[in-house]
Amino acid sequence: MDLHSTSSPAGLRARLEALRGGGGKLRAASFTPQSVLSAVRMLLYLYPSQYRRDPDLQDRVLRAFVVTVIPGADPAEPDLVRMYADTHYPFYPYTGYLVYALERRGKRPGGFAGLTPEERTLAVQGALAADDTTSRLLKGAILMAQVSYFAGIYHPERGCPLIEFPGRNAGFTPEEISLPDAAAYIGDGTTADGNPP
Amino acid sequence: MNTHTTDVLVIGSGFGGAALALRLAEAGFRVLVIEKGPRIRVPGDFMQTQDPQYLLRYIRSLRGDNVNLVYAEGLGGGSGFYEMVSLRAPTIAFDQRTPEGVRLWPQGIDREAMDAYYERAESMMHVAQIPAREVPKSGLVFALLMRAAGCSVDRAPYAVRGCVGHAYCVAGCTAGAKVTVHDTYLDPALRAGATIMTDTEALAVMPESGEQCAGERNLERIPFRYRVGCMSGGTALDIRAKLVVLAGGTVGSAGLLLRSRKWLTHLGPHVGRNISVNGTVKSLGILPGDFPDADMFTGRSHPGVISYQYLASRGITISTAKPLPVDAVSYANLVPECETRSPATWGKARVAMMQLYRRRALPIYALGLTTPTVHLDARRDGRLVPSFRLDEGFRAYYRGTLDLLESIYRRAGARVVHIRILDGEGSEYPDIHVTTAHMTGSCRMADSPRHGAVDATGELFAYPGLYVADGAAIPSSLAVNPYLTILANAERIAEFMVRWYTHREAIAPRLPLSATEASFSSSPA
Repeated sequence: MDLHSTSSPAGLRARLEALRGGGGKLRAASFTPQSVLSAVRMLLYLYPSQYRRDPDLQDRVLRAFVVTVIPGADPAEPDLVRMYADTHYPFYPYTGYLVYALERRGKRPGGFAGLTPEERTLAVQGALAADDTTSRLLKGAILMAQVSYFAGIYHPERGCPLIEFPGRNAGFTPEEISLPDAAAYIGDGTTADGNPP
Repeated sequence: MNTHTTDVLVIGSGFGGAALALRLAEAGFRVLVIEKGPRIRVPGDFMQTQDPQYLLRYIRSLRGDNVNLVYAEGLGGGSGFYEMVSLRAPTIAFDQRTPEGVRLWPQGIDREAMDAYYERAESMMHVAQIPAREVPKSGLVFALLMRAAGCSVDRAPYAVRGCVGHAYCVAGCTAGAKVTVHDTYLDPALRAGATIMTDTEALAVMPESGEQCAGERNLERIPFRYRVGCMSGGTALDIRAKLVVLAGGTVGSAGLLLRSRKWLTHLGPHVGRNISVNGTVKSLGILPGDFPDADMFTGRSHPGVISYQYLASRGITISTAKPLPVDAVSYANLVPECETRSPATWGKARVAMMQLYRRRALPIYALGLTTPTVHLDARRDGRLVPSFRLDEGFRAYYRGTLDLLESIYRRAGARVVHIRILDGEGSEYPDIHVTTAHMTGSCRMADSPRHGAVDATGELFAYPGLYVADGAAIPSSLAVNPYLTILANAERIAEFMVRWYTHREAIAPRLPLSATEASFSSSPA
């Protein structure tokens, strides 16, 4: 939030709602001064507004983040960062702060996205080791990236080729499901019908 | 205010509620079933997706410190999403006792007495032992792993017809192969005259003033003695019933009773208490090079086999599972032992682990006869919060069982993967944390109100005509998946209710009479 929006009634209401909604995060965070400061910044949007309002900036930084968390993910994949703006998940109010926290660590022209993969990894590790609020935010962002990508939630028909997850299917043949001579693996068993004694 | 009257109100449409609905409707009772969750058309409403938005339409979780209780809300309850493995509880499960030496199960209820009801449930659910040739790769590799450790395995029985192996069992079977209660119990209940209302939540159970008619067997002489306040599709609804059957599950049934305490002033102290988590301990390993590939993504999700090797000595069964990626990733950080890369839980190390996941990873888990250590509290705002008493006994059980599972991996040359369970925000829990869908006992059966919430017929102590017929009534851990026991017990309770309220002799083997039944068995019809 930039200082100019402080006086907007709508903006103030939004910030108060964000503060109420994020109260749990404040309570859950450890009360180090830095952690509290980060939480207040995040909940009241007290960081430069372009991190919240510039979609190209967000897209660039978040794609770089996801391919850092998941090397091998296609950076050009259309829905790679969709979950961070998806209002069905509780993360989206904090996406701007995530972008801000990452971009601050890209200490050269090109920002976070301009770093090498190794530098981006170090930057993310730095954010994870920062105050509790920032650390929790990053952990949540990593979890969201992994769930979205590995589970193929936006492309159930495709699954996730990176991990050979086939996604939606019509079933498999007996040869695909089982192995030859299956009975030899199992042996005789100890019960007549599979039920415990 | 809309008001309905009925002979029998069944709250919940899962395994417990469906059985009661069918048997009582068949016996000529006017039966109304209400289900909090949405209507589910089987298989049309199921989807092959891991999108949390779809899963959370039906799957709920109640998270507390150290425990996460998972359950379904929707027509058919957990039957739409269970893993179909259909096991009778072992004999020793029925012999468990409280620390004071009191038998957890009521007198006369043991494996032998339950076998007739298991048979009935198995017949209804088309249960059959899986043929060896249909056991999925992960099950066969599990068998190999166990036999390398000197352990036997058995082919398990399942409620499946025509499995095509698409592996989305726990999201609901789109092929219609999973046997659910929809066509086995609920549709026949409708044909027998029952009515089912979905999207209808029971908010409170209130006894009506006047004579409660304890012990009365003639339904015509029983008044509408309970009023259940509900919300149905946004509209308030009152249902007046002569008999009420709570079948909303361990969480749902106890939660409803706890919220009704203001009216059910004689509700005993055991409601919401004594919840067992079935001793769930999970582990993961990476197969040694000389083992064939497993496969997490083909074949039924509970892959065919189970081991009773340690049932007598430790009270546990051991099996394997095939979590889809959304479960594997959202549940825990998976870190192979001796992983030296940093970071270990994301980046290259995590991708490498997930690339091994499909064919080289094999989870094994134990279910065990652990004592009840979870209870539910109802807060003022109506929220339920579970608390898990992590006492030394459970810690010792957990550590010992995990050590055993890890030793099984190591004996075969497999590499153990450490499972670091995550909270909803991606942080690792620092202590033992159990996630289970197998919780039982929140309104447990007992021989006296000193030890339980309901008697052997499922009737609440002090509240005639108010029954619990789901997992909440099951008084102990079972060391196997509990659905078949829940269903068999519901069949048993239904048989009693039909016999009691219609004065019919039992068709199936009789149980010893409860005190209530014995005192009225010679009464004129």
